[in-house]
Amino acid sequence: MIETVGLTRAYDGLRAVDELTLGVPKGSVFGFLGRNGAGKTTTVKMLSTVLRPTSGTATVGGFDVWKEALKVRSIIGVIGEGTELARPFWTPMEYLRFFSRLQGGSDRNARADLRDWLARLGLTAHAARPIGGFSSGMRKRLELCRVFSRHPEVLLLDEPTKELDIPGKREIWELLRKLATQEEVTLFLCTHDAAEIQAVCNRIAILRRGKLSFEGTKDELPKSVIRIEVESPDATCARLEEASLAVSSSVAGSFVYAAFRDRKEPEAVRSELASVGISCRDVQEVDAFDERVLAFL
Amino acid sequence: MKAVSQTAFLALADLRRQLGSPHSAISFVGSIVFVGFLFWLLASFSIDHFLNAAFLMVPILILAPATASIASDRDAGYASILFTYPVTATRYYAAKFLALHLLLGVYLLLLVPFLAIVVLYGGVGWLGEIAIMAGWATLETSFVSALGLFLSASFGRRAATASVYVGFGLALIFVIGPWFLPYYVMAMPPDTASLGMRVLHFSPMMAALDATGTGLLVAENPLPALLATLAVVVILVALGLLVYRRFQSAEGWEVGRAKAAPVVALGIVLLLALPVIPGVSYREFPDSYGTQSCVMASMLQYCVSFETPQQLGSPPPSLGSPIHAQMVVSLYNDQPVNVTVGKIVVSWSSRFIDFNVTRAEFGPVEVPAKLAPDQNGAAFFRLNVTAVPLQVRSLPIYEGLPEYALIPMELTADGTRLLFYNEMNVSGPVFERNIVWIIVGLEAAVVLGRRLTRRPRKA
Repeated sequence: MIETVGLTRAYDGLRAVDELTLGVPKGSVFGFLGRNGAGKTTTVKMLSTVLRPTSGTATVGGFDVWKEALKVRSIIGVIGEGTELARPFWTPMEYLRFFSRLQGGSDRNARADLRDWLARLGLTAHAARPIGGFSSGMRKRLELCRVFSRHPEVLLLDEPTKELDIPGKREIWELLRKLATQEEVTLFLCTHDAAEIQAVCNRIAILRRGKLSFEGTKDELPKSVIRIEVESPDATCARLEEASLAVSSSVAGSFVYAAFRDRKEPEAVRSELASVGISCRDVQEVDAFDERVLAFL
Repeated sequence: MKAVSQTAFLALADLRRQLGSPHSAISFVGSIVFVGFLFWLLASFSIDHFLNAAFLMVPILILAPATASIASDRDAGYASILFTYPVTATRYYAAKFLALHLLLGVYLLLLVPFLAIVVLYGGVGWLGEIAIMAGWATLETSFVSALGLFLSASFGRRAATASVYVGFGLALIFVIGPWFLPYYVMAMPPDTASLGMRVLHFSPMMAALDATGTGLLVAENPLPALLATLAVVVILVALGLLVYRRFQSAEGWEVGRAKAAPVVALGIVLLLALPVIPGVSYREFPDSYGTQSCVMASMLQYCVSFETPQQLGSPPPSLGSPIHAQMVVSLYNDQPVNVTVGKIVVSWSSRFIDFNVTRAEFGPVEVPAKLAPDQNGAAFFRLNVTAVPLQVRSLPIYEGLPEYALIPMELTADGTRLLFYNEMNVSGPVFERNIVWIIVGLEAAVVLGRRLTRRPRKA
């Protein structure tokens, strides 16, 4: 449903997204992970036709995102980063009706559907208030109403649950799962939240400094991820990659997270590192999903 | 959704946003108070001045929202949402252009009570003037919208506040410039002045002043100025749309501004080439009004007067009532020899008065030599005309003080053109001008009340 080949976007020579090639099958829930500034939002903007790719191609639903932007726009629903409800004096219903009409829907038919979405996302009680007074969580719910009520074939969601409380997040996750399974909506979910990825996604891609560092199912993530506490984590990371000891490694504070293709015991890793001149304070295997992901971030 | 209906839909949504925000409500109340003050101040002196200010000055301020229009959409993230829907850049741009014209429409609605007073007290003849001025206000709005949108798109993101200031500053220049610049330009050497006057026609306000002929400088043919203004609007819209579609996305500049430079340069060259449109020549009427005016030319003094029953002791004629008047052309000779003029043509016209005859020819005429040191030779011609006063120059605010209807007159003596600006006293109903403040209060209450009592529609 979504295909990118060598997709690149540069800002003043700096490549925010660098030769990204990936495929998202129809009906899948695709998690797109990365650190701040890794290029996730830029990717979503390119896929949603808002930004022009510097090079490479991207198609959504078989349509080129730049050459056939209008066709792409007719099948997608997008929650972007930092959209601040530009019409603060409108009520939720006015806001939703505006975008519904823009999509080409009949106003009369849309009302019942929009009311239904407001109810499903817990906004009925606030339907008569100007949205400028909404909390950030309510704004996010309204944005979700906006995109869900479009009945899109592809949902491009950039941090859709960022401002929501824990029960709210779980509601949305449940809704996303239903959309994917019952209505075969393809979800492209950009997030920092590994728990969200774990709860919702069946495939993931991890972006590091604009480049793809991992793509596959959650189960395809290396089982053996070792957390190494060292004096100089950056040098250790570089050394691990030079010596091709690890599939991928990354630094978080004073820890290095290293992923290995085959299962490894922590002590074996300690001695391998010692053989290349790296002494470790502590070496532990990690099991938690978010820590396993860390090795690719 | 079809392109036209989607464009109209976006434009109406934009207008609703403009009118729905507290800033807009305050701006509108400010405009109402300003226009009310102008009416109070100017209408009793010259209705033309009020119309110029209301239709030609205030709409230029639309440049401020125009310049902020695209920049603020980018700042608020609205553009990033909008362009994930089936909306094209052209429709978006066209909707912005249209929305700014709708904003003018709302402003014109607020003017209606003032214009009604003008027609009621100043004569129905003003209806035509008002329609023409509304046309010029629309063209002017097209000009400021085209310029503002072009600038707005060029700002990129995070420049919404700066763009408003730039727009407002430019608007002030456009408002003030055309009132003063022609006089400075006309004082320059002839070649420079000619070019300068042509360049000045880039401003629709200048073109409107030419066309309506309300100043002392009246264009012989205002069409070049109208064409120049139309050309500027077309070039600016095309240039803005081209840059927006080709070099920008919803978020701002897609490529470095340098890559757009050749296109912008081409647009500027086109704008600079516009002065090849034939220039406007002006007639400069004398800055003094009266029922008789005189001009010296070719050894003779030519005087033209318009004599109405009032001069003969009757009360001034009232609007709509036909009167019998006389045009008197007097030629005075202070030379010791007779002077002969082959052919004299007198023509007159006035949007204030409907005449049954507007042109007369005499000649050849021999004006006798000076008869004595204190007695010039003279020749007189009288012409009876029937005239219907249609409108007065200003609103009568004092009982017993007549208002005036202006009569520009032209006399050609053997090819030499002489201009006169006469006036005729007309009586009309007295207007209590403090009523203006009631209108201002009511309109402000409607605008602010609508905002304060706004109840969202039911879900």
